[in-house]
Order: sequence, then C-alpha cells, then structure tokens
Amino acid sequence: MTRFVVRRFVEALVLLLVITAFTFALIHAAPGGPSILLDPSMAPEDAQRLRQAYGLDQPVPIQYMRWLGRLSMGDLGFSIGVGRPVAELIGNALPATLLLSGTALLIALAFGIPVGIVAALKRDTWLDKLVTSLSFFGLSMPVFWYGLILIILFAVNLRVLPAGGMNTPGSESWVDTLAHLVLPAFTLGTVNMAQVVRYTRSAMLGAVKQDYVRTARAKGLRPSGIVLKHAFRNALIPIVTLVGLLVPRLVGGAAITESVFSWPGLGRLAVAAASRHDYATIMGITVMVSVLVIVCNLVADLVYSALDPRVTY
Amino acid sequence: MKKLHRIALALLLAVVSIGHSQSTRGGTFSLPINDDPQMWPLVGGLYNILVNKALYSTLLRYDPETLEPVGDLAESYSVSDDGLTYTFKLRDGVTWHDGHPFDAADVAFTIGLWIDPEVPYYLASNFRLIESVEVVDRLTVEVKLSAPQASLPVLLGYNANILPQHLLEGLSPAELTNPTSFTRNPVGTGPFKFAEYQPGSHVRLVRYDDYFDGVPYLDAIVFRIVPDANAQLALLQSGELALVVIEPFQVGSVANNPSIAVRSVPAVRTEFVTLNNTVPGLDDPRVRTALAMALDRAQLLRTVFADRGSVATGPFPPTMIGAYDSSIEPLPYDPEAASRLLDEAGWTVGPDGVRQKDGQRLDLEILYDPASPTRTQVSLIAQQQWAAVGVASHFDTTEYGTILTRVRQEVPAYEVNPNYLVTAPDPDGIANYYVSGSLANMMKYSNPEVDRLFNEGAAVTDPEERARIYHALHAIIQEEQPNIYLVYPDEIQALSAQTEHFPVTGYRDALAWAHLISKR
Repeated sequence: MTRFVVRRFVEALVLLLVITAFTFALIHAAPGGPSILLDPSMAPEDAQRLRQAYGLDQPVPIQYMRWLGRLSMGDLGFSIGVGRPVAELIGNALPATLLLSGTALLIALAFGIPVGIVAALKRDTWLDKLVTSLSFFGLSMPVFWYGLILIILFAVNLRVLPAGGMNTPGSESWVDTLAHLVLPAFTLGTVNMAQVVRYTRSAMLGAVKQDYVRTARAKGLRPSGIVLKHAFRNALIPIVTLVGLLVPRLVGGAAITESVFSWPGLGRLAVAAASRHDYATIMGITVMVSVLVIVCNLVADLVYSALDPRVTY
Repeated sequence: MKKLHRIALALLLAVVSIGHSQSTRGGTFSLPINDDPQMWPLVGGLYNILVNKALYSTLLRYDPETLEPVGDLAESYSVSDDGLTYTFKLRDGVTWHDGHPFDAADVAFTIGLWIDPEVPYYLASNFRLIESVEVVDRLTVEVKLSAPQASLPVLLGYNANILPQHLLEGLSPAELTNPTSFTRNPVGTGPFKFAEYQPGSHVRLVRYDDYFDGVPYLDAIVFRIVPDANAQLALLQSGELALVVIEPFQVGSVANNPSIAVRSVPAVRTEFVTLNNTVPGLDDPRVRTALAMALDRAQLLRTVFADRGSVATGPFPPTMIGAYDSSIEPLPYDPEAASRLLDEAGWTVGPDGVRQKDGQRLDLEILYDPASPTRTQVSLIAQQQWAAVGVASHFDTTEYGTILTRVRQEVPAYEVNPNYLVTAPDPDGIANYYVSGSLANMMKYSNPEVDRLFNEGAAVTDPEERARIYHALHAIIQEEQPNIYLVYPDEIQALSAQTEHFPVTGYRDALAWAHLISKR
C-alpha cells in the first residue's frame, strides 16, 4: 500500500513536469501575446517596453525554467493581466467554484442516485423510459443555451432571481449569495445529474442480476435490504469512478456555466486568462487542476480497495 | 504668453447645478467591464481605463459636448510663444482619498514617471517630447518640451491619470510595473474612492465627499466584470446593470424595452478596411479607390451599423477637433466607375470572370476576427460586392490579438483586414498610423507629403493653421485611399431609464464627469 502510494507520487511528479512543459510551449506557440500589449492605440515602441519589463522578450525555454524555478519555491507567479499574484487569484476563485460545484454535485448525487436506482428496478416501465429520455436530454443540452434560457425566464421575465454574479456588490449576506447560487447550481447540477442517473442505472442493472442478489432473495431478505446492502454497494464502484472524474471537472471545468452566470470561479478565471494570454495564470490553473486530477484518481483507487476487498495494492 | 486659455468652470458648474436641481442623491450605478482591472493607470486596457476615470483625475478632461480639453486638476494653463513651455495652474484644496493634500509635486512626480525610460508606461510615446517638469510653487507646474506639441492638452486628458507621490515615491521601476502594495487600496483624487475589489466579479467605488468638483450624486459606482455580451444584456434587462455599450446587432434586443433608453453618441472612432499597400494590385491607388467605390458604404452603415454614425471620408472622424473637413464627400458607390478604374490600372477581366494582370489574378485574402459580428458582416458584404466588379476574395479568420500582431510588423502578413481605430480626439494621434516607417502603419503607406504635413501639424497650435494642414491631409488621403474608409460609428449606449445626467458623450469620457451622474 505505502509502496503503491510512493510509486504513484513519483509518477505524478514526472507527469506534472510533462504537462507543464507541454502547456507552457503550447500557450507560447499561440500567436498574439498578452492582450495588455495588444491595444491598437498603444504605440508599438511602448508595447515593446512593457514586453521587456515583463520578461516576455526572453526565449520561451528560459521563461519556462524561470517559471519552474519559482514554482519549486511554491510561487505560482504574477498575473500581468490582473496585476495580482496567481496564487491569490486562484485562492479567491477556488471558494466560489467549490461552492458552485459542491452544490451542483450534491444536487446531482442526491437526485441522480435514487432516480437511477428506481429506474433500474423498474426497468422497461414507462417510468424508466421517462428517466432515460430525460437524462439523455440533460446530457445533450448545451449549458450555455440552457443557462441563458433560465436567466431569461427567472431573472429577466419573472425577476425573482439575479441574472449573474455571486453576490450583489456591497452586500455580504449569505441569503443574497444563496439567491445568486440557485440558477448556476441548478444548471450545472442537472447536467451532471443526467450522467449520474445513467451510470447508477446501468451499474444497478448489472448488480441485481448477480448470483449473490438471487441468493439473498432466496434467503428471504427484505427487498430494500437487498437493494441497498447488496446490490447498491457493488454498484457503487463505477459510481465512485464517475465521481472521481467529475470532481476535477467540476472544479476546473465549470467554465461555461461560470461564464454564462458571471460566477467568479476558477473556470471563468481560466477562460479569462486564456483569452487575455495571461501565461502565469494559465500555468497556475494547469498545475492546480493537474494535481487535483492526479489526487482524485489516487483517492478513487484507494476507495475501490475499501469498497471491494478483492482489490488490494 | 501667446495665449491664455481660461476655463469657464464656474459657468459650467452653474449650468450643471441648475440641471440637477430636481435630481435625487444616492443609488448605485453599475456598468460592465470585460476583464479584471489593474486599477493602475500606467497600463492600458479599456476595463482598466474605465475604472481609473472615476477613481483618479487628469490634469485636463474633455468637455462632453465639444471634446475640447477643459480643467480637471488644472484650473487653467498657458503656452509660451515658442510653444515649448506649458504652465499649469492647479486647483487649490484638492485632497487625495486618504486625506493627504494634492499639490504640484504630485503632478511633477507623475509626469516624471511618464518620461522615465525605465518606467514602462503604455502611453509614453504621447509624452516623448516632454523634456522636463518643474514645480514653480505649490499650485503651479511648468512643463518644458523639446519641440512644440499642439496635441499636448488633449493627450493630457487621455488616460493620463495623476498619481499620489506620497504613496508611490521610492518604488523602483520594476515595482512600478505592478505595485500591488498600492493597487490593493488605490488612492486617487477622482469623484469615487476605492471600496472593494473581487477579481472576476466586480470593483465597487463609493462616493468621495471631499471631491473637489462637488459632492457626487451617486453613492457608488460598480464595475461588474462580465465579458460575455449575452450575459451583459441579460443583466441590463434584469435591472442589475445601468449601462451597457452595445454593438449595432444588439440594438434590436433592447429597442422595445421601456426600462432601457438606447442612444447614440459620437465617438472618436473609425471603421475601415486596412489594405496592405505592398501587395500587387493594392499598391495602385486606382485599385484601392476602385475597391472603395465598389463597396456600398452607405448600405453598410444602414445594415451593419444600425444606421448609427456617418459614412467615413478619411482618417479623421468629425469628433477630431479641427481636422475633419466636412466639405469632403464620401467616394460614391459606383461599381461601373470602379470597373473602369480597374481596367485603367491594367486589371482586366479574365476568362474565369476574375480580373488579372500579367498572369496574376486579383484574388484578395480578407483577414478578420469572427468574434466581431460587425467585421464579419463587413467581410462577407465586401466579398460579394467586390465579386460584382471582378475582384475575387477568400477569408482567413483568427482572433483579434493575432490579427494585430500580423498586421503590425515590418513585413505585414495580410492583404485586406477590416479593422477600427479609437484615439484621443486630436489628429496628431493618427500620425503614427500614417507616417512612413512606423510600425503602427499597417498599410505600409508612404507619402513624403503626408509625412511632412503630419509633422507640421504636430507643432502648430493656431486652430486655423492646424485646420489648413489637416484638411490638406484629409484630401490627399481621400485621394489615395491607403485604407477603405467605411463608417464613423456612433457609440450605442443602452442606459437604464432610471439614470439621469449621464453626460452625452462616449462613456469613457463621460466617466471623468461621474460626479454628475444621478439615479431617479
């Protein structure tokens, strides 16, 4: 077990190095450069002076080594776009993202798992067919469209919920934040819920056909006990895999939902950084999300062994 | 002293206070910005500039009606006979947001930063002729130039915010690129002071009661960071934003909303199609003129620009003080005359219907940014209308930053590119884009007479003399069409009906008068 974790850790470091080198090369290969230097009303000479001040006139490998040097001391660098340290920007955006994705994940699991179980148990009934079609609808719906429809309905027409942002500027009340959370969390939650429903349903379908379920039934156990204690516990393994995949995606990848709802989270920070060619911020987020993906995968692997005694490391 | 510019501020204030007799105090005014502002005037970016307008002051700002520079921190200024010395009389009793008194030393300190080659200031070229700056007394500053620069007063009002010496003194040039110690709690002399910044969300500025030009009417101005155009409109329609500057294609979505007033204000902006004058075909003024005449610019104005603006005749928009010559008519839309010009230039219709000369087809590559609906439409219409006179074209699309890099280099990598220019309301600000050898000259246009006139115009302060020079330039450039001038578009403002006294001018310049805005 310890050897397994240590080996995975070393692998992770190598992987991280490859990812950052590749990303660094990629973003510098994109033509254009930081948008702060691309104001057409700025004289090219002045732009050149700013480029030097930011060290952007250096060759890319040197810039990468400098960046790596700072990273090894725990410094994620400085965003020339915002004029703040990258760690501070990520630190500001992370709670917003965790609040939104956490709520969305909660919605997805709290509704998705029971609905998935029921759909599997009532297989091929009208209820199952309804759930299946609805979840297909949820999976295929573009978030930017769905989010805008919700905004037009609830914020523009009914005016019961705010159209965007995380709070009314100047207000610090949590009720206000909650009101701002409803639409984006619902948007993100329903899309993920669709996925959870699909996974749970198929995993449960597999589990209820197993011999041990038949045995349990033959022994005369209560049906709810069979479903929850025997079938569901075994069905959990693919669901844990899914959650392991969803968590990093929810943290790093709620970009569209966050953009549509002007939610000041990491996804939007990443989009803004990419569009203004804010190299330090792009790299900072890359490092953070990479680490998160690696850690989540590791945790998912460890949870398997807790759930399934046959899995050992 | 050749001239003494006296600014009728008292009069202006009187007018303003009459106008405000019934308006209420209080309320928050919110507008969107596209990105996180640094709140640091030495770097650019519209999102940064807009916040700085309300937070800081400049020596001079623009009269909303005439765009003439009038007093802001300076009460008045005078120019020496040789045009080399400007003396600024500063307002008395101005204080920084931290209570520290403002004086001439702050002005000298800030101008010192602009002209320090070690400090990267994004508009340093505007002040390259400033040789030295001196504090004469507590409220008088003297600026010495190496050559006369008529545009100086206008440029002093153009994103040239005065900074507090007592908070920034002693910072190294490297620290001055991004002085986080200062920008976490920026201190200015503007009508609104810093209250809160949530990157990715908003900046909130609150009323500064000791503002030198009268207590602001609003309690707060909030700049919400909303890059998405659809999200901006939704926030306007839900009442969470009070002003959104919209694109022509968005007018329809707000036109019938009773709680939103749509108005157009003249902007210092020109939309044009840049031509690479070194490309075979485009190196001939007759071909360039033909391309302009084959393009129905009046129709573009009606359809693409929602009929808000006027057809362009050259590089100077009507807002450009003393440069625009209203007697110059736009080139007519005349495909037949265009065809004749192309024939004359030796580009005759070949067997495939496309014009050719010496075996080379006239097939132009139009480079545009598909993220801009306006310039996408211009490209599509140009392709169609040019095809009607036998000029073929095809598209290359990429993002704006890449376009700017490609067109602005020693050997530009493009042929045709719909683009735009926003500058200070002074024709000298255009010079850099037209004089030979300048990197900003994307056309690689070169005409010694144009170079000479721009140089001459830069130094002349007499309005009539200036007009003569710039009118001559206007005529030459119209004749040679280094670019195809399309439209001088208005800025289209969608304002919440609750807003009152938002100055009738472009929103950047209006925000320098943010203390006048009120909310019903």
